[in-house]
Amino acid sequence: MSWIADTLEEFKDQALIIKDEGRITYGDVLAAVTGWQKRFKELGLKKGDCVAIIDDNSEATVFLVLALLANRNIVLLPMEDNERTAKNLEIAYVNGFFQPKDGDFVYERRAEEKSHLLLDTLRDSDEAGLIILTSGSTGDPKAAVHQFSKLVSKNSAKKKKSFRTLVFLKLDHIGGINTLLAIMAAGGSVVMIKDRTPATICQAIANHEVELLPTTPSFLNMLIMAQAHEKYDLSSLKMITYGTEPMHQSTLNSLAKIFPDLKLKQTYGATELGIFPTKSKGNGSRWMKVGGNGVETKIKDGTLHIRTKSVMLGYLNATANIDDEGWYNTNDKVEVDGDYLKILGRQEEIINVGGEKVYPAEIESVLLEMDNVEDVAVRGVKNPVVGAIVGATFVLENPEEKVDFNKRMIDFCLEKLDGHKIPRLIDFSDGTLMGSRFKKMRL
Amino acid sequence: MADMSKVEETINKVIGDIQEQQGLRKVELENSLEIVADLGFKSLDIAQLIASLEVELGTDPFSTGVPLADVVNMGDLYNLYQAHA
Repeated sequence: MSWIADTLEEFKDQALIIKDEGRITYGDVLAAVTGWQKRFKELGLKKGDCVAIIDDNSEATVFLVLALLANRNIVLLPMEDNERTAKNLEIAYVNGFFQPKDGDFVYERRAEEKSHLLLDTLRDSDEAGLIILTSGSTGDPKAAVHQFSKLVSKNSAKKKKSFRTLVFLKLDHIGGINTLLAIMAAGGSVVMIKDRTPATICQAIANHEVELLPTTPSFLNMLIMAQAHEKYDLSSLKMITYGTEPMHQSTLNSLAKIFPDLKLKQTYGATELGIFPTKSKGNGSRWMKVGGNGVETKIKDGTLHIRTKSVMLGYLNATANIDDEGWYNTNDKVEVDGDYLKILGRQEEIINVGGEKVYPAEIESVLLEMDNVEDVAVRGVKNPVVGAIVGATFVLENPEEKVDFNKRMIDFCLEKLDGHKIPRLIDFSDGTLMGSRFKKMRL
Repeated sequence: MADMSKVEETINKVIGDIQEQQGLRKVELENSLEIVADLGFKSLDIAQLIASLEVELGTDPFSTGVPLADVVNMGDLYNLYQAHA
């Protein structure tokens, strides 16, 4: 039996998923997973096949992901259908994909003649795998391959007490899958929500007595500004964990004031590593200890390196920044105080908009397609609400009113870029945006 | 001290621009109006508001340690930027 089937069987009478419409027990999920495994046979889907799921965030997707992993498939984490879908399927050497139709899924095989050494290694050792896409600086995502048993081994080591947890990050994110697996390992319950507005989330916390909210600093800022704690009964909350982007000290201070009895905990992780809990110096502190429980850290040239069992096997389409001794270079610059670390930010020029990574080059290439745009430089503008927003400096061919241009730019970008990538602050320049070595000056 | 009406005018104009750009419903701006609950501003809209006001008014009170929690409604916003003008 697999870890998944064992776990679902062990806690079969307990609720795994809680929604407004009702509860889904571990036993219900086990029945769905078993049903899927019969269907896989009918569909000609064999163990070892690399399978993608194109869908949003429904519980049906959770069942399907678990069924595929139990079947020892390699799963490309669920993704929304967009202009990059075909490219993503190609990057991950996908043999077939599921997409939703009329309340069910349809499976379509994909002609894939090539494979990759990492995927073959998983197949040869009879292991389920996960492929998680992470954005690369050139625009194409990097495909990180994980061995599923290594990702769950840190959970099965010891049974922890589980909190009733709201699933904030989606399953397309290492954080979402991490939450689900950690809760399952402890026989706990996850609360699933329809959207991520403060009102929906606070209502769900109140209705379902959520104890743990794993979230991002940006969302916590929204919560504070919406004064949600005064409008909803959030007294069931015992802990808030936050990660994916740097935290502002003022946000932490406000949270500590609003929720004096609540534990605030930072998490640290990466698509390539998995997610680890940390030990904070104090409730309102950004200083934290990473490591322990099989996670080793070292600082080299001010940059954090991590060695852990749950590290990915490698990328399908890039060279992994893991050295011969197994140390992964996080590229996170840190400040050190004894055993404690403070994350200062990434080395690269990624703009982190509320936890979503944005690459200037990708946005610039879209903006350059606009009429009357001669050149453009995109940069991050520090912001207390979402960490950073996208700013753009344009060189126009002919003068144009800023108000008109701004509206035209937004309309142009709406179909081509996700909302958080569309510049929120624009200005114009008369001169050149190039430096002496023809590198774009973004700052 | 800057003219109160000038600060209010700038804030109202920036809010109007964001509402138009994001296709948000325009409402009569008054002191008791809440920025998240009543204006329907999302985190990126508030981020843009603060960044644009820094461009227009030359100040970002939040960079000096003012907590976001201090700004709930339009009145808070007017007073904060007036005090930092």
